[in-house]
Amino acid sequence: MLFPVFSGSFKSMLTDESDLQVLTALRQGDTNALGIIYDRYGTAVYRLALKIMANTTEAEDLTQEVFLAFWRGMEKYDVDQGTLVIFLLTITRSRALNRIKQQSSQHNLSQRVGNYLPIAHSNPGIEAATLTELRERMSFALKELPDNQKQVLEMGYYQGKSQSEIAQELDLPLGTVKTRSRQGLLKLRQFLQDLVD
Amino acid sequence: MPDIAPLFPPELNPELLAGYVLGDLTPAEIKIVEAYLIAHPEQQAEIHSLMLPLDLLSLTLPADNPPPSLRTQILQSAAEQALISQPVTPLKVKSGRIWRSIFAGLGLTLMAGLGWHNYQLSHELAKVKQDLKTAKITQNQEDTKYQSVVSLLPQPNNRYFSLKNMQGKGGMGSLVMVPNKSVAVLVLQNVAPLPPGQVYRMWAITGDEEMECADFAPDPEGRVLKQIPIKSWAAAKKITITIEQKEATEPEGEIAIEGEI
Repeated sequence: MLFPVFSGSFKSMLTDESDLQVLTALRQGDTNALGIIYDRYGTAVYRLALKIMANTTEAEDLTQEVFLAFWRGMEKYDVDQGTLVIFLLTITRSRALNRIKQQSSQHNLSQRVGNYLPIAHSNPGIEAATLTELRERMSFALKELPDNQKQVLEMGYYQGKSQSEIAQELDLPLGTVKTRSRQGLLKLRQFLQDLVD
Repeated sequence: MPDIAPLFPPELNPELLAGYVLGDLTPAEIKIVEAYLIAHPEQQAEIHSLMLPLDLLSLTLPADNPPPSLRTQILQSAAEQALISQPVTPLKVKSGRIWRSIFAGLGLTLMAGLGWHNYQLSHELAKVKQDLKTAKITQNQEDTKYQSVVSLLPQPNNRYFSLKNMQGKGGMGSLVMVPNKSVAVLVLQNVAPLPPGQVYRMWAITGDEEMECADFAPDPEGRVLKQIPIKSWAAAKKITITIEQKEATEPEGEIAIEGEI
């Protein structure tokens, strides 16, 4: 299995146990459960870490940090609040941006990532989909997005840049960046609408 | 672009909600949105739906894969941290090996205490013992302590307390109560030394009563491995470790470490 993280359903990969069942085992101290969760979502976490850190060593280190932080702080994740993969990706992004902040001594990135809080939210539509389906849906939606809208959204998400910084970097009026970001987000949301209905 | 307007009530521009999620609103606009969300709590779902594309954005990243060794590394570190909570550090096998082995072995006690005494437990215990042999410390005092601790691991009815640092001075580790042997095993690390005349004192709390259990001091490397006879505190639900004057008889000092079952 080359890409186990993208090869099956949330509810049946590697074992027949759901995320909830695996989490229950994990909370009872079963390190094998951590291995199952890593097999499911480790690659997704690593890819995001690599995208933000742009360094394989840093990405590996951050991936380890994320899973061990998750292992140690299980009480912080409430299964009723959302899907596990989104939770893991959210904390990966947050920690990656904080690392970059520490490396570059920039001002607090956490204050400029908007209201995109590191809190997962319940979404039965997402939980019912496979990771492969979600990736394909998201890839399709991104392809439909104008490049200039995609560009500002990705700069904000992966680089943690504020819209003012994006405007400055792209030499665009702030209003243009805001419009492109908002319209891009609304359009993406529209393409994923059935997942949240 | 799909028609998005019908998803939102006419009084609120949908771009404001998008801007709210993206964090690009002015303070005045934030107030408008938050007031709107208070008046229309059902619209929180719209906020969540707008977060979804950001949640899923990274799934489209190129197919770079982590090295297979990363999985092993993470699981090994987790096994080490099953007992103690501390920052992630790479596995080392030379200095301090015996202590890590002890912690790893006691981590397995946790699993045993929770009913996870299984094949992996036996396998890992064997590994710990092999580690000790490899480190050639079979005849020294630490090995004696270790063997004594290991002999307690398979006991049924063991109770486990995870102990945490309360003030940046004490250490972290655990207490394993072995009722069948009327003994508890205290394992700590990163415990700060104390001035002369002061000791760390462990208290067991049962209901409103605090019972003195034992005094101890860390070794020069900040480690504690101590067996403590269980007297009348076998039913304790909470353990505290305070810093006391040696002659003190009541828990008057500051709490350095504590943990609950």
